[in-house]
Amino acid sequence: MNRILLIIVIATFSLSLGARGQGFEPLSSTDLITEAKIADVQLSPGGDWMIAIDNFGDRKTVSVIQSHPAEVRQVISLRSMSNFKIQWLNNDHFVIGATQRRGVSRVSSIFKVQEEGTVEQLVPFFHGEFVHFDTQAESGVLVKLDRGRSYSLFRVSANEFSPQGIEDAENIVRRERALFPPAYDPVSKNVLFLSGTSSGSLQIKAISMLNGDESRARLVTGENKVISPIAFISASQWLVITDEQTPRRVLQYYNPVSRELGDILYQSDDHDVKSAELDNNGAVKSVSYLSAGQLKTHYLDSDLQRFYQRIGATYPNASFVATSQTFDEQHILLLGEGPQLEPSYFLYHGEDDTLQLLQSKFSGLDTRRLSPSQRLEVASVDGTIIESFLTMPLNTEPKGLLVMPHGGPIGIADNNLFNPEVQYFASRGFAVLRTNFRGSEGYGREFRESGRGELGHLIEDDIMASLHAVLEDHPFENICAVGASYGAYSSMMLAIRAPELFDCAVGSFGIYDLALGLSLSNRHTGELVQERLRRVFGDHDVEALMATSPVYRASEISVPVLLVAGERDLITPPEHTYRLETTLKLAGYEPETLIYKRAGHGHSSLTDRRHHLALIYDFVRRSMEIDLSSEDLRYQIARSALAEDYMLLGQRTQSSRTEARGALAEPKSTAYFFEQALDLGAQSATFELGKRLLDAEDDYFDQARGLELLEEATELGQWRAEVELGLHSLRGVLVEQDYQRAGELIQAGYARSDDSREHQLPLAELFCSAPEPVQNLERCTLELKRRGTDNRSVQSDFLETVGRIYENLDSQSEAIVPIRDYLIEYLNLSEERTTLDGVEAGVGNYEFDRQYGRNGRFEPMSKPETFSLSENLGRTMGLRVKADTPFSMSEEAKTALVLIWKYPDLNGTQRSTTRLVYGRDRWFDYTRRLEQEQALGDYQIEVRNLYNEPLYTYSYSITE
Amino acid sequence: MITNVGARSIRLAFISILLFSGCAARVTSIDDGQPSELSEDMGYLVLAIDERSQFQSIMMSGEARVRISSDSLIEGSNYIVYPLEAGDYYFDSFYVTSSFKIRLDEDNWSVRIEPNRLTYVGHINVSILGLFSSSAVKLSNRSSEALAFLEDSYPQLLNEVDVAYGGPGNDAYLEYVLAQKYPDRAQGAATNATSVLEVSE
Repeated sequence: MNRILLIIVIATFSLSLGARGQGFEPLSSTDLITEAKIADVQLSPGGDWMIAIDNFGDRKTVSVIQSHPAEVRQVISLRSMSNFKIQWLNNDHFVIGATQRRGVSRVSSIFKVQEEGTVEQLVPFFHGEFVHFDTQAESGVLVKLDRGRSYSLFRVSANEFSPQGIEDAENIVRRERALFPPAYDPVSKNVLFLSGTSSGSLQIKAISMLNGDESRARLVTGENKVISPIAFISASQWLVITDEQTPRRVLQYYNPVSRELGDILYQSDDHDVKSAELDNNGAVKSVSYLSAGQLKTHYLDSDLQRFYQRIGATYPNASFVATSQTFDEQHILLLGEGPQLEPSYFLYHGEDDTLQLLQSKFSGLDTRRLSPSQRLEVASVDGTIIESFLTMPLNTEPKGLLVMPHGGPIGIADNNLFNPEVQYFASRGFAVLRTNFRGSEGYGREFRESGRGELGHLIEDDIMASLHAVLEDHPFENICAVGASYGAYSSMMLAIRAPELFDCAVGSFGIYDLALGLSLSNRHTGELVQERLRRVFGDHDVEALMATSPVYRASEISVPVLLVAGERDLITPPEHTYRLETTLKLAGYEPETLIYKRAGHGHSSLTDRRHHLALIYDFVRRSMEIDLSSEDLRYQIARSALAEDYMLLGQRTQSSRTEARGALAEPKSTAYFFEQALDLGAQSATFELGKRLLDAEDDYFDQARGLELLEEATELGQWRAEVELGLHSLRGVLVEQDYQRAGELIQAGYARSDDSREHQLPLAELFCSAPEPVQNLERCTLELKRRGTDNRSVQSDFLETVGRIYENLDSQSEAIVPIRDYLIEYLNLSEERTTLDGVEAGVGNYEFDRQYGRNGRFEPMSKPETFSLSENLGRTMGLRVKADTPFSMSEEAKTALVLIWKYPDLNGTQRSTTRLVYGRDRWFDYTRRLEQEQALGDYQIEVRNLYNEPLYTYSYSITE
Repeated sequence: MITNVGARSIRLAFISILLFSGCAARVTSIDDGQPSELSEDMGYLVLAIDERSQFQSIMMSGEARVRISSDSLIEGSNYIVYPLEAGDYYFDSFYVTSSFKIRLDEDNWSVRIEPNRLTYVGHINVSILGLFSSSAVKLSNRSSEALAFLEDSYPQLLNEVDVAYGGPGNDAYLEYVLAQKYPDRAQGAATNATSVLEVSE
């Protein structure tokens, strides 16, 4: 047994030696910040097969894998479903549970694995899901959602695995109302239903699957008792984790009816219980806890304990938990995780005592490239011992230190498990210090409670004590404080405390005005909420809270500041960020601010997460004035990871998904990001930068440099640049119109493209708009169809291209005929010559509509031929138009109009924007808000019908 | 039979809504250039409705009874700026549509209009629909956004009149910021806030 395990340890160690000396190796954010590629794996009770849910973005599959040797034998593709669950029913039958898209109830399908590895679907997807299945007894309980929130239970055994068997299954509970699908407690063998109409009247009903006995208990909520249930022995007897009566979190019985805690089942003086596993008789099998930042599992059975200790020794400080095992316990599927081990699946083979690495849950990062952490214990100002984790970059001298306080601050803790954010910065050459200051979880109740009311006081004392201890051994010259939520607050307070130590401060989703926490909304002023907040803030009055709030101490934050917020954040709304930004500016500082429009108190988008990290990295690098040496950039792997960061920054910092403020909002910041990417060898940055320079309508516009970059990108073989240059030749605005050259460039570009799915709308514009011999109406409509039919909804670029083609052609052109015919067919438009039912144009206001699901409307007040910009700032200019609906038009048909707006940009370049609009009996607004940056000069808005006949024109001039 | 009772109830409810709202003054926002000759016991209500919220009108009671409808909002914005008698008010009902009313409780919906000041009382947001519950409506403190709006749309008025917060809880942010922006102007509540600057560790 030891022999094989030893081999794995030696292999890991020797490979680690081999990795040393490779120097600066930034890990790609795409590899680090990713969703699980494998959502779940289950080992069959006999051990011959495994089933796994694979995640390929939008596509989910279930793989059937032979265990010895591990080999995928069949892949089941699952479309239009989500939230999968897999479960073995016996040795060769398994069930896939899922939620159908647009459906609310769960569906299941039963499969059988044949001996040769092929899979047969025995029961097609049906409504219902197994709440429990005993693989040994080969019998289980199926739950089905009836009308509303009523659930029925059915008993199903293995010999009923057929459509008819499921249909005729024995009904054991009929239409039980519950707020959520019922849960099964394996200890008590009860199915539990939670019902009630409000938090004050919640009730649990437990039905025994052994004898059908029922018990009920009314739950009392709203009191500040912190309990985490882990098993429901009966409706009135739970097993919970709590430290209400003990200095450490223990495993204890709890009666939810009398609200009394009972006997303690497990406790330790050394650790807080984090989770526990019970055997089928309700006895504690194992408890898990964090110790020295590592997840430890203590098995009460000494043989099991020894076994897992040996398994855990294969990777430094890693912990392993069994996710499924065979009846004979000879084969165990394990999930392992450690500071230098991404969560990964392993299979233990009892017959020859070997541990086999199956697959990483995520990207399969090379463990040799992950930076290790060391644990520190430091005495704080009052002698309290504080634990910290210092992660040092691997194989390179640190470029600086990032002090990263965690959020919370009460009841949250950092640990030493795999942390992608920490690895991101460590791999970019930064040491990272994380401190479990007082208030953190996992060190006992007294330690946690001692953090209450210490925001800006002892909590930051603890962090500073850790920092000073680190500086004794590592005299870092560059230090930044970087944190999220409470960590953002703490970062600002650290910069206030020790401006001589810190070079910058970064706050994300932060709370910066503690007093605002108490007056955030009328839901925060109730007694219960105020009490809950006071348990964190302490009994300080508003003035004292202001005195420890960065908003009111902004003048003391003398280091560069980056602020990041989520527009949808309900926990620390962006109001905190806006306030700090305002007071920093009042103090004469210029913070950089970015608001993610789709983020809440954190990101739901992986790309936003990656962008956020890159934003912090670049900001810290600039603040610390770190130049990357040629040695740093010696390896392609380093250059490409950093180039990826900067490309993302160039593409997303100023985009519709974000609101950039301060220096980040300046056009030159985008140029800077792309130039960095270019320097790092990202050839596509040449095209991106060139396109932006030419598309800019303000002083960022640089025609010569933009065209030069596009030419350069074309020479580098970038097909997008070739197409872009072709479009410029076609439109003739920035370069001389040359249809021949346009045709050559656009076609050559697409011929070079390796993405056959890429839409080719510029080809449609070319073949429709250009005169003969370049014109090719057949190909024009073909390209329009490709874009028009490859999506469920009509895309805006399709509508713009159609508008652009109409703009380029005159009403006499025959080229319009096939385009019109295609649009009539594809969009179900009226064939008749559309006229206008109504049109209003000029300067006015845009009124938001308060009716649910309806847009606002433009209301022109006047239609001047000339108007002053300064007198109309904040107003809206444009047009509101409605097509006439002919009587003869069928009920489903719509009418369409082409809108063309010609305008000068701030450089005097004449530009235009176009759009095809269509609908039935509705108004369309085509507007623009008048801002300070609006160009002066002549404007024209034109409305045409599908026959390209002009229906209306409004020409006007804007003066100062 | 049941249908008739239902229809009658709806009709009665509709009539009572009409009668009830008929007593309240309908308000329209003032313009920035409009002369601000407020009597000493008057102040300005500054209220915003979140741009994503469905909203027909809201009723305010207290020193006066006021009905704020979607037409009351300043053109092109979500705000209302309206002169009112200073004193204590509370929002008592929120009409999502003319026939869907959410009753608001006085305790959680009280605001105070300060005399001779622009009093920002909050942003009203309807976050959940369909529950017919007052918890679906929230009054949030977004003072910094309100101040940016006033600076943009009411620069003249802002130059003449102080700004106060009159929404849920106590919040000295507006006084604090304005004391910094207009240091020569005497702000009553700003005194406390300014002293914060002197605190250091």
